[in-house]
Amino acid sequence: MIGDFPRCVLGTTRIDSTNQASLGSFLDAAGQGTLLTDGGSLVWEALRIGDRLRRWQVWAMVPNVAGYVREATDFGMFGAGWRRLRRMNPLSCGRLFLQGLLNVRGVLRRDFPTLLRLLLELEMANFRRARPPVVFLHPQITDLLLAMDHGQALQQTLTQIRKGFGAEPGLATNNLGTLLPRLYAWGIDVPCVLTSLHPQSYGMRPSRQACEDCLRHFEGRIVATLETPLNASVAAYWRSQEVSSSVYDVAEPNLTQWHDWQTGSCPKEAQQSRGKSAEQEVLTMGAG
Amino acid sequence: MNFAIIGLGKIGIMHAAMVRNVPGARLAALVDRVPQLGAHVQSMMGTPAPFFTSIAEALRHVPLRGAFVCTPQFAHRAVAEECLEAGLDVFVEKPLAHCLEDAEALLAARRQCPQAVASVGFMKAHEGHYEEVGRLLQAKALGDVQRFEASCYLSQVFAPKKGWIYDRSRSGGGMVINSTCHLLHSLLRWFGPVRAVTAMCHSIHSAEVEDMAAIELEFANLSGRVATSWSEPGYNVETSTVRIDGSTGTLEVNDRALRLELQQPAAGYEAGVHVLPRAAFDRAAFNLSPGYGGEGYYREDEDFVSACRERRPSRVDWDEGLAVQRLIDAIYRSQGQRIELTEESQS
Repeated sequence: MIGDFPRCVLGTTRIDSTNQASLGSFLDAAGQGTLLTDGGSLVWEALRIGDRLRRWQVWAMVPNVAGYVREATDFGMFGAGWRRLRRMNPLSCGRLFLQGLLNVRGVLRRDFPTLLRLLLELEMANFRRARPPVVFLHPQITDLLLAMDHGQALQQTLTQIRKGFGAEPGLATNNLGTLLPRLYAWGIDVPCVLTSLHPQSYGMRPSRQACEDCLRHFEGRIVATLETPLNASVAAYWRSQEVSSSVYDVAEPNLTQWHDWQTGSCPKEAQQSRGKSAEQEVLTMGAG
Repeated sequence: MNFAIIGLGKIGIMHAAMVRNVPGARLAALVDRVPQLGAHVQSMMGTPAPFFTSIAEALRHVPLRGAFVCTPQFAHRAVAEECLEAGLDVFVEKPLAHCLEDAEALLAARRQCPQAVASVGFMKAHEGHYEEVGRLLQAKALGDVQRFEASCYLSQVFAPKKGWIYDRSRSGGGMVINSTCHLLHSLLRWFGPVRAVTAMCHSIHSAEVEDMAAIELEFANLSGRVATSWSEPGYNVETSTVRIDGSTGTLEVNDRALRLELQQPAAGYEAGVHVLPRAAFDRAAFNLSPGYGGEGYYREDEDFVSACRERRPSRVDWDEGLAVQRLIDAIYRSQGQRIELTEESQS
């Protein structure tokens, strides 16, 4: 298990080719830190320049569902896998080939847990050099297995991340209030969860109350995400929920905001008891 | 209540996941002609639902209340008619059919079963921020609406592609019928029947279907343009944007936010500029993919299940599906000519 989480992690889901250069500039200007990525080529290209990969710790979010679904739409499930295979180095290819041989029946039957295991191997091959200490399962996979009530596959994935990749496993989710009770029921311990937390309940499903009730009993670490800009009320809310870390994820990261997130978003200096209500955010809206 | 998922592609899997989480619904049957696909989807489930290779076989083994038809659109008519004849409530994924003839036949079949709940999967109608636009327009928050500009873009086709989607005889068309149909449905819901259409469709990479279209729509009291393409770089996710200009305000909605600019207080909003994140309107209790219409998928399934239980029409009935189909048919026929549509043909 890794030690303290960084207060703030740089997210990369909104980086595209138009702002790739600004990502590189930001990585140099900020100096060092932690970056969360699904392994998209733009992020790797930025990290490979200079000694950025040495200065920036990488956390992984796998598998890259959007990329895989796009390729699967174009080339079919196996075609998409083949295209990814061709991008791997020979060592990783060999490792995956061995895994495939050991699981050949599952592959031929298109058994989902087997395919997921191989897909994670495939994706994590990209991350070998970065050796991520924390690996999150992508929310679309977490929530798919949750929706399908497949605790066994979730457990298998967490074990694969811990033992196979030597990383602390986490689950990213958009359905926190459904996930945590189900994990308790399945007897699955998760060291960290990445999820939306917002005083106006944005992204907190099925409800803010249900999520807060679950978090009172959750012993792992919470990494918070946010769709809206950070403000004092969000920061206070995160403190009240004992958030360990947060993801700063914008199209063009800037240093001022990065420092604000590091000082304002994470709560070490001001721990408050869970469940205490945060100050209400003043919205410009009259309805909704 | 027991439901079946018919057609186990990506959309079928999505609905299977939703149905398992909608209160009051039980996923009781998976149906597809390909047994391997059935085994694949079953392997995603902790407790697999039973799999059948035909609707008739499923009906012999499981008492069903309704079915979600998630096959490619060229098969919608045959599958949905079989479900109706079996006395099931039927949810058909969008578009209602791949051609107007099939869509009209489905409505005729539905008229023979007036008790059936018949829903079509235009999920934007169930997304909170689109519902809010409808509420604002109904409350005349923008004053007299004068003009709109809309777009729907996706980065999907940059070379000739294979598959049924690119085969006009099976898909019915390209970007417009497969993706822009959601946006067209929303415009019909907001503004009422279309009076006239002038459209130009272009193929850049595809041999048989359009990759992009420029559409001018005339409604009773306003007109506007829709620009759409699935060959536009920078849109990994289908992205729709609508700007509506009124005499006392302007509204812009996209897949991330709703921006409202009002000259005077209206519909619960103060005068001024309001920028509201989409999350402010999201009412889905479960969301598999917020970036890919997850809210709409959950809520349309929830509505269909509720409608089946309460024996009421669903929020998006096949009549609306047919209206969209007629509009799409006119867009494809237009080729730059103005085509008038009668209100009766869309009601």
